[in-house]
Amino acid sequence: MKMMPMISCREASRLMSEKMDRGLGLAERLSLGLHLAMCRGCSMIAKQITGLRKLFRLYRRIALKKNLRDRLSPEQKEQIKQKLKSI
Amino acid sequence: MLQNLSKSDEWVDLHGDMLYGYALKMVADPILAQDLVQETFLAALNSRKSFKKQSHEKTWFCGILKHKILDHLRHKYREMPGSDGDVTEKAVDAFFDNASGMLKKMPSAWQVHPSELIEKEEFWSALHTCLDHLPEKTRDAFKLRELEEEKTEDICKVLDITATNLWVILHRARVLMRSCLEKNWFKAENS
Repeated sequence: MKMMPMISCREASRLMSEKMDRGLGLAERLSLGLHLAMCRGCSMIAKQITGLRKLFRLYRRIALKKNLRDRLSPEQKEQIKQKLKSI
Repeated sequence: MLQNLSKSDEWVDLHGDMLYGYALKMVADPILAQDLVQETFLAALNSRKSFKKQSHEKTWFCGILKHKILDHLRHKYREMPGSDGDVTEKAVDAFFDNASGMLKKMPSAWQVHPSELIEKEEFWSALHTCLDHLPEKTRDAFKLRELEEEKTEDICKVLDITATNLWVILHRARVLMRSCLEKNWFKAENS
């Protein structure tokens, strides 16, 4: 069996990101898996990066529901109302 | 017609803030965001007949606004192609050893615990600060992907770039967001 060459952290970083945007091929999955199993730094980064995705999904949901900061001022609302009436 | 008028006032009062918050998250410009909300209501007024009673008004407005936002971005990148690749490439390269491609230093050990972070206003503002640090095109691509959960093919069309190009942009965005949050939030929190 041919030895799988060890990929660099730079390569691993690219693959762990692309995994979130496209399906990786078998060879890519294997070399990423091997790298992550052997490199503690990259395996932490991989977890943090997938964690970011979860975080953003959550953020979107609560931001739309709560909408804590970004509100239209009464003046802005009045402007929009007037505009809608002028049509 | 009279009914139409009071209806549009009601729309603004009921859904204006929510739509504005949504628009502002995607375009980060208050005046433009207000315009987009106004255009959304105008389009809604013009197409009231096509509104199906069984869907929620809120969902309907969000759908229109989303189209408006994507249109705006499509125009922006048609007028202003270019890329911010040089800046982000250098920033990401700095994490790796030039010759070996290995990590220069270990990341800090933090984990995302969404449930603990939800209630922390300061965390969300750190997140915004980090987003604001990304160059414009990178930021738009990242938001479309992670906030809007758009398919990569659709993002490519909006930004007028190839898939390979988008993967590179998103990779850099993730690396930069991760390290920015590590610096601005997780380290500060642990110390």
